[in-house]
Amino acid sequence: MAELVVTFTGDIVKVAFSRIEQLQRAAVLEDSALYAVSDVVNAAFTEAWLKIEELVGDALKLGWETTKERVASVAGYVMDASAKLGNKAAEFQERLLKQLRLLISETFDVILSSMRSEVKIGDLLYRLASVELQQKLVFSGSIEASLTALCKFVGSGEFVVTGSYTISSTSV
Amino acid sequence: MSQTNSLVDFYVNALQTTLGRTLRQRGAEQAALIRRLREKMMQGYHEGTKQVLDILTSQIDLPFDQRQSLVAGVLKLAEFTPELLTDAVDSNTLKKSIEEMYALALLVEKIGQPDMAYNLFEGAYHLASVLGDPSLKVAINLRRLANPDNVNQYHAAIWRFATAKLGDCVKAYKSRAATLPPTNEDWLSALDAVELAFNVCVDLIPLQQQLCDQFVQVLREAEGTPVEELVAIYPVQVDAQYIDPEKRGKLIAALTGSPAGSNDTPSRIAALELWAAVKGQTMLDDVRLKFLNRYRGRPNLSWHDLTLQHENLLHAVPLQRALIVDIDRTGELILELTHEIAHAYCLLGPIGWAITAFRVATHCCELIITSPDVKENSENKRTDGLANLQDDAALIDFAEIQLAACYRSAVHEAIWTPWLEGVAQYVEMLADPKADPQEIMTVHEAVRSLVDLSVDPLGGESQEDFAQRYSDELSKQFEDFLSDALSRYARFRHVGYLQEKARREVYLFGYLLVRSIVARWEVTLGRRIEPVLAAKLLLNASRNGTYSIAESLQREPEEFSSCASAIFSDWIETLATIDRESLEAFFESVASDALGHKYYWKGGRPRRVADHVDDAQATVNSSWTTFEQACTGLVSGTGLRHAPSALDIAGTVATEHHKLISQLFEHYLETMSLLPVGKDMSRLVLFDDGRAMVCPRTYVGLEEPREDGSLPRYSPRVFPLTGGATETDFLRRSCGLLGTARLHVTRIIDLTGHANSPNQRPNISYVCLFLGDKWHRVTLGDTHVTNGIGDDFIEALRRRVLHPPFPNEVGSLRSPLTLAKRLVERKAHSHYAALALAFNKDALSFDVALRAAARAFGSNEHELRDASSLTLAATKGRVDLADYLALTGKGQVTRNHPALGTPLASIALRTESMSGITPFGGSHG
Repeated sequence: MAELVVTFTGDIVKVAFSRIEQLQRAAVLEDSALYAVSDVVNAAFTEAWLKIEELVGDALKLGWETTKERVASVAGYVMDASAKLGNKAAEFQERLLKQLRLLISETFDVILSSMRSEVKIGDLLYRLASVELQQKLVFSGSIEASLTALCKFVGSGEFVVTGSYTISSTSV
Repeated sequence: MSQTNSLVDFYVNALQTTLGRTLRQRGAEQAALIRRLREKMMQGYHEGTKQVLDILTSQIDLPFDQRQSLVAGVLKLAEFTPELLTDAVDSNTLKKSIEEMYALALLVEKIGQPDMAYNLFEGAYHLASVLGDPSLKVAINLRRLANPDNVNQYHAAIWRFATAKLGDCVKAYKSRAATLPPTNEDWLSALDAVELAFNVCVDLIPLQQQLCDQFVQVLREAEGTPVEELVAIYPVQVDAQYIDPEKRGKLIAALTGSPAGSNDTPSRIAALELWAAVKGQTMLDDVRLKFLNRYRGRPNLSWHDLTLQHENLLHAVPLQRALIVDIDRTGELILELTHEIAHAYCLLGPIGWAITAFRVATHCCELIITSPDVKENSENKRTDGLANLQDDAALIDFAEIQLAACYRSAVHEAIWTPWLEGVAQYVEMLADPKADPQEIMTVHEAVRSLVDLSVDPLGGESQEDFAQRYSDELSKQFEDFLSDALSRYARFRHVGYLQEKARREVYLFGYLLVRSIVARWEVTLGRRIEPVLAAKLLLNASRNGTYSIAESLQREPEEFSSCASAIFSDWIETLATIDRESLEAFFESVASDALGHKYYWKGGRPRRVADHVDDAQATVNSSWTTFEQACTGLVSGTGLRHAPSALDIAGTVATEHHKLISQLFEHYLETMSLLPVGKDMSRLVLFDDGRAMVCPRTYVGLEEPREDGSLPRYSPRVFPLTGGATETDFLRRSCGLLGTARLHVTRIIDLTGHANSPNQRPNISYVCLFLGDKWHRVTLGDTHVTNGIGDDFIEALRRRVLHPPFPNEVGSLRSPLTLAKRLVERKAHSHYAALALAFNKDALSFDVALRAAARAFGSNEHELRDASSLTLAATKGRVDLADYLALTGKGQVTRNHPALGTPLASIALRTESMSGITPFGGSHG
């Protein structure tokens, strides 16, 4: 067993958000039932998501300390929009939470996929057996808490990934 | 005597009659043989029965197969008869007897004796009841074959079907492992059947008692199933004489939460019973809603007949204060309604007249094409619902004329779509009634007509004072609500319209065009115009100032698009450049309680009718006549270069039927002016004291009930039937004949003040309850007022909702593609079919919208298209633009708004403009 430690410094936010956008687009094309969702819920969601994207993007670029003040403002927008949406607020918040969960898992995927599945050193071919991310991120049922966790996570700087490799074969 | 003895007698009689009717000769000898057969069967002497049948067989005048089957069936049944005559019948024998009798009944029906088939089915049903398991397949046949003229038989069959259907569902539900569970449709069908049974009754008390007892047996099993609420409605909807009074009292107490006391007055008992009836029925309606397939789609108004579709308008009707009672639930809905009703308003003028003229031509041609000589059957029936086009040159030519009309209609709609969507968005998102101290905008007035208040006259208050107070209160509540909905949702709605979806650009360019025209008016006046005022002029112009459309109607289809587009462009240009004097006159304030001025349009300017009465009348009449005559021209194929062979005959047909064509034009427009909003198939409950009850669902009822129960989920109404017991009987009979206990309930807004309406005032709504064509109750709003609503008007309302001229018009007669496909089946090289097959309505709308917006902003089309694509591509661009449009729409211009950094900003957005949009004509304007 060999361990390889890499640091990921790419724009994970951009990649993760764009993956989600692609998924959404595919869902729109596939499922015309999306039209059934109220226009105002869609609109509020779009706007909230845009604010989240900006916030998380800045957290990555500027760091957690610089952006932490703004989490409350985005959460405030969500609260305001929820108040306006009345009994549609639950639908709105549910969609946001679901999308946040998806964003977090996409973010992990982006980071973890930076680890190569196979590494050849000399004549030996190592195959990836497990990976471990140094930073921790816990998803919460609260939008503000999840957002804080996500911003802290991406705003912490480098992402250190440790991969454990086993020897797969010997080159001939 | 065994339980089945009289049954044996019953079915043997049926068999005796059946056989007797089939005999070649019917003399004394045959009669004696039939009697002997009966005797042998009744004696249970099987061998003897067989001997008599052997003699009879040769005399039966039926095809060989049927004869053999009949004799075999009788023999089999005869086999079971001895046991059926005893005191103890084995359940297997019963089951076999039911199956044999059922098979025999089917055969007897086949040989042309439905009455005897009915009797045999009835026999089978009774045997199944002895078994305690009503047979659904038997009950279905009883229901099918019952004689409508024999009321007892007919109504008994309804009860039996209800019992069997419910029993079948309950059994399937409870033995899930063995059978498939009932589907939602099954449960709905069971509920329909049961409700119908409750609405009909049998005059023979013992029979009705038996039917009730059999039903109750099944009903007991329904507890614990999704329809257990039936248990609650049974005791209050069925004649009390058939129910144990103690049980009935307990259920009423449980439903009302108020036990009846021994000292209760009759009026309190009656009130409790009524309350229980309402409670029970609405509980059941909540159950039904869960089984229904709900329409889930975008709100939509069909342009050809103004039919409104909305997920909150199906299974619910706007009644009482439901529309304005809770902003969380209906705030968005009221904006959507405003949008759609703005369309309806505009389409009642020449834009809609043109669609109607093309529609009349399309329908007339279809009537000619539909040959009465050709019988449609399942094999040759078209899936698109159209008639088959015969291989007849003249008919094929009519199909060409028809397609030319339909195609031009689609082109006309595509051209006007950007404008009408722009106006509707403007009205929906910006027109705040509270910003206008003047008379209410007509679209808002139409929406307001869907609201009823419970306001009572004060002591000593005159009728006029009360009417004024009611009106003031209604206006206040409605305007507060709408204004609140706008402040909550208008911005979100702006974002919503820019979301990624089909025709997004058409909506955006249309809206920007409208805003740009208003911006030009503001420049002309030198001041900002409140959107709610500008909306009035936009609506008025769209509805009354579009007569120039008539010029293009009879153009050759190839040229139609360019000609109609040019008319549209000229019209927009003229509208944008209305002079200051006309604008000032139009926006002159009118007291809020006074009737506003009426306008007609001449030379592209609004003119007050009151100042030019004769000229106004002449202008409107001449325009109407032009459109009316165009209908005849369209049917005769005037202006068509590619269907010349048809022109002679079509011309003759059109001339001969000119009057009819004109009437059709008028009739369709009349129908369109009556706008149904909401639909609920509501249960009609009949009481034996000559009263009826109906509980239509309101929007609020579409959602889960709240704990406080303060919102009106249903709007129950109980009313005396003017005909008393006779009318009750008539209704029971009608329900039976129509096969439903539910009324079509809707609320219809009279948008124009129908000639036969009580006072010919526009924007009054009527709540309509229709039992098919057999019965109705129409009230002024959701009140008890029925006076003054005449039969002619009611007939017009009924036609509007129950009798569309062609079913599923959208996918057939409204579709150039479908008509073209039918035509090419008979004529491979049709010029108009080729045109229709290549037509893309959305693409044309986009082109028109882009061109008009580019003209408005003095831009070039490529630049505008690229700028809008870039702006809309990113979420941020969309949200910023929506925010800017929402803010500037309210007159809040912000100089550093992020939308000013979008590619579209340099073309369409202008902060120094009073409403933030580049005025029409762009920088050169």
